Amino acid sequence: MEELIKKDILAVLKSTFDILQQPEPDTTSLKQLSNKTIHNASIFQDEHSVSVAILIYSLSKIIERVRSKFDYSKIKNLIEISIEYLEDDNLESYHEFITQIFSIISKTDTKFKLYVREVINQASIKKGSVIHEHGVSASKTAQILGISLWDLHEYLGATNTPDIDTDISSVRERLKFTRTLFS
Amino acid sequence: MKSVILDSGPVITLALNNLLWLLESVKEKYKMNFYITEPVKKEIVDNPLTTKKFKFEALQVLNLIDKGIIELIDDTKIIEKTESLLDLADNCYKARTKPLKLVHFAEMSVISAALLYKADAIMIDERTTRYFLERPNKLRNVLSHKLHTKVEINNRTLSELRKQTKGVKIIRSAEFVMVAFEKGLIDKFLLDIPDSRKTLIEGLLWGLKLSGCAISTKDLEKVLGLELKAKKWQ
Repeated sequence: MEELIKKDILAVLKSTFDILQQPEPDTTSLKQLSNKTIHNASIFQDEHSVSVAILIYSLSKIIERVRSKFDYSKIKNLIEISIEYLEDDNLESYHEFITQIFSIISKTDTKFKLYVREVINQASIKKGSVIHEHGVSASKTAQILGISLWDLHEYLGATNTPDIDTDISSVRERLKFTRTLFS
Repeated sequence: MKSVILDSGPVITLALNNLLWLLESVKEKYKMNFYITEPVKKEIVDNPLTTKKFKFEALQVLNLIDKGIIELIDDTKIIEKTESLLDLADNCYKARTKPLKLVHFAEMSVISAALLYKADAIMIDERTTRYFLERPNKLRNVLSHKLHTKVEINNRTLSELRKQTKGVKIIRSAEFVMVAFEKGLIDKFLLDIPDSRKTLIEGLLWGLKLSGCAISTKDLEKVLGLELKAKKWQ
């Protein structure tokens, strides 16, 4: 793992731990935190930056849903162990513990099982839209996150990313050219 | 005979707006041939057929392939050309000493097919690939701004990529549908309601934008204005 990626993931996991220490964890801060590794995900396209972003965003959504029913101590414990393994460069064990956190989130409440799966999928699409906004193409983004291009495409339509792209003259020229194809 | 190579995006946009039938109408009336490459088919047919959500849309696309409305190009030369173009594309921009891999094999296969088959145009909805070919400096600015880091262009690689892809013309699903509208191909939806023409154009353009065609609100409103002023291009 690149040193920069490791440093950023450690910072994000430590901040997540601190937020979870609060009596009422601030889910907005968690969501903001989930974007911190996305810059790296866009540049390095590594699975670690991507999975941490999805993990923290999913965590914020689940906490919003179940609040006090959530097993904070277990998650905090796993985050602490993940941090230690990452600091020791033991990537295999680090990855194993991150997977365990995903598993705990998925088992939060059997009543919400379908919801949780949807949250993780939506988190991936949402983080995908941020990577795309950074300038990575739609297909490449779908590949990095392992999500459906159809899902991503549908989601992108609801974002304001295309509004950055304004070029009236090219629109006029493109229309003019398209007309020649219909002749 | 005109030929247009389709990227995944426009096919998805048309499918999500129930406009796939337009390809058949345009092919019949204006002798325009539509092609997709194998990597694009994988994205728009093979992958969604293994999921639940977009299975039916994938079947509709497959039906068009089976009927020959969309023709599948399966050519090893395209794969070779794509590999070479992708190698160039992957080395055009650099951030934090790392080359930025911004485009996908499928998107580059569309460009390769257009070059090898001398297509009249490619239809691509998404911004990054268009910027790569048309506005590489703007893409650098977007990347730099969004990644909060300096992004360098490898001018030699970029000019080689631009040299090799010179002459490739790009349209989006928005322009395609608008001209189809001008030609009267969507007139069956001009219903007996006030401002039916305006309502239909608005419905079409917003439908395309909201299902992923990268067109800004400002451009959309401009197109809307142009179309409402224009006479029918029959």
